[in-house]
Amino acid sequence: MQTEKQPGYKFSEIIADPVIRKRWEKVQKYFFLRESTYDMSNRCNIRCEGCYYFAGESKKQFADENRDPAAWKQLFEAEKERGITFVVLAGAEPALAPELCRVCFDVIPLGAIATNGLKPIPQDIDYRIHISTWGNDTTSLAVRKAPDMLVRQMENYKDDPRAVFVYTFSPVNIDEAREVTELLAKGGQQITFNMFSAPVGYNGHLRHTPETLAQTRRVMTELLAEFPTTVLFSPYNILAHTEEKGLHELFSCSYPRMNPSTDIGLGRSFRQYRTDLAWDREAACCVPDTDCDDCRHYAAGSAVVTARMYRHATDPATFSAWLDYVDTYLAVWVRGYDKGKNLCEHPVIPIG
Amino acid sequence: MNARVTTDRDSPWFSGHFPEDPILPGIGLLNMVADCIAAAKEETIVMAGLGRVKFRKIVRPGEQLDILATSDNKRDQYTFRITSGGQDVCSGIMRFTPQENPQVNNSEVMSNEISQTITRIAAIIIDELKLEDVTPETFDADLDLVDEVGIDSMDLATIALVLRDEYGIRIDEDDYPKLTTVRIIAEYIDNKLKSSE
Repeated sequence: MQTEKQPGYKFSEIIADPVIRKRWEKVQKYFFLRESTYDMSNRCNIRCEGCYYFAGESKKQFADENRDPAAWKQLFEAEKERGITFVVLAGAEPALAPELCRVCFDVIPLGAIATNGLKPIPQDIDYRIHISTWGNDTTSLAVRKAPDMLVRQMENYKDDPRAVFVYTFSPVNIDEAREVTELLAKGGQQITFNMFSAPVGYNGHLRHTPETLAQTRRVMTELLAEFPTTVLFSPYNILAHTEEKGLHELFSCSYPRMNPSTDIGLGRSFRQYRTDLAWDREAACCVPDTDCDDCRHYAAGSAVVTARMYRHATDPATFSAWLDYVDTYLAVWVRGYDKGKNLCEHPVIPIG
Repeated sequence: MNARVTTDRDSPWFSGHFPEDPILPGIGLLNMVADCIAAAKEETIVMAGLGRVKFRKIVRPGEQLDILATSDNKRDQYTFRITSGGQDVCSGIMRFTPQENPQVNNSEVMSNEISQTITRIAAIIIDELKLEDVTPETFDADLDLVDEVGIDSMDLATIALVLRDEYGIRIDEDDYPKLTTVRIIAEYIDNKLKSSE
């Protein structure tokens, strides 16, 4: 009997390597995570150029704000009931609605909050806290109209194990990533990398070009090598997020907005709730209103690359690269998960 | 169908299971349910499959059990529950085929080959998902893996890799949504193997 052409390695052979097996068993314990996202407030204390919340066409920014904790509790209990085990609380600015974040934490204990970090989130809300960073303080002042952002963010989350700074690379701040990373390293804080991904209809100067993607790749590589305990990233993360092809073209995005199937996975379970507790399948993804052709979001990759395990199980190096990606994703998103040393230090071409 | 049964202290089930610590084995409970349903139907039937079976309480000699079995919408399928003094003992789904001329309807009869594949896939799923209270032989091949077993895309990707090793076939990521039951997976594998011959 002749069978289809197979990869050079059986899966069992790949995970027979004790180092790979140990990492595989480490990440596999988290396959139970089922994510949905929630806009907790339609207000923000700053207004940034190209903001994912206030830009775009889905009109989420115009949704009424439900501030009733009982209504949110009911929603989260229903979410838990339908199998959601991980929440991402976003905005505009969720730190302006801590009482609602707390209601969520009391029902679903695993999650992350995306915040600009200018208003501290109470310690008892023990989610991972993603603090958005768009450059050094000079650039932040220009793009986000807020003075001393990094100084204030670092002070608000000093010695806070919940915090990870999310540096969004845009064409105008690539070289500032070193300055920011050095400051965070000195402060004993952690950073991961995001890519500016244009909202639908945005054609401003923050949209990446092939040249800025290549430049970003080089800087990310240098920083990961120089600050391995500060930077939560891997060589495969770098390649996957700085390819000229976006994540959807590379990995076929599985969020409902781009995936009509409701049978299994994100297409079945993921919802993106607005502040009025409604959701719209047509707009449901981790960062609604992003131009899908330009999407290189860290949040999107965390789900989309992770979901493509099968195609990475071709040989030990490629599977190790995928494990590094998943290990990074878990370290960035899950409280208490410690990132291991990257297994695959050399570049592996993203499996599109 | 309702039935009340008192377990016989002298039953051979108890003699070796276990010496000085007699417990009615799970198969004995299931046999009891099957006998009751057969008696109620007044025909000879053969158990064809089990699903979602949970054993929740140990049964001792002389214990009184209440058996409730209700016919599901699906033909020859029953949902059953055994209780003892109000406590749940065992529950699940039991499927039957008529014994007389059981091979008449080919669509209901699995080929040996598919049957073996089904059992092997069930074993892989049980192993990968660390399912309890079910064996490859009792796994209901028609259970919806997402709705009724609770597997998700990462579980399915893992299972697909193990199946790739086992059968030497590639399972396309785009096909995952179609693979909703063990029987469908077995037929998918069978088709892949036939098309590569």
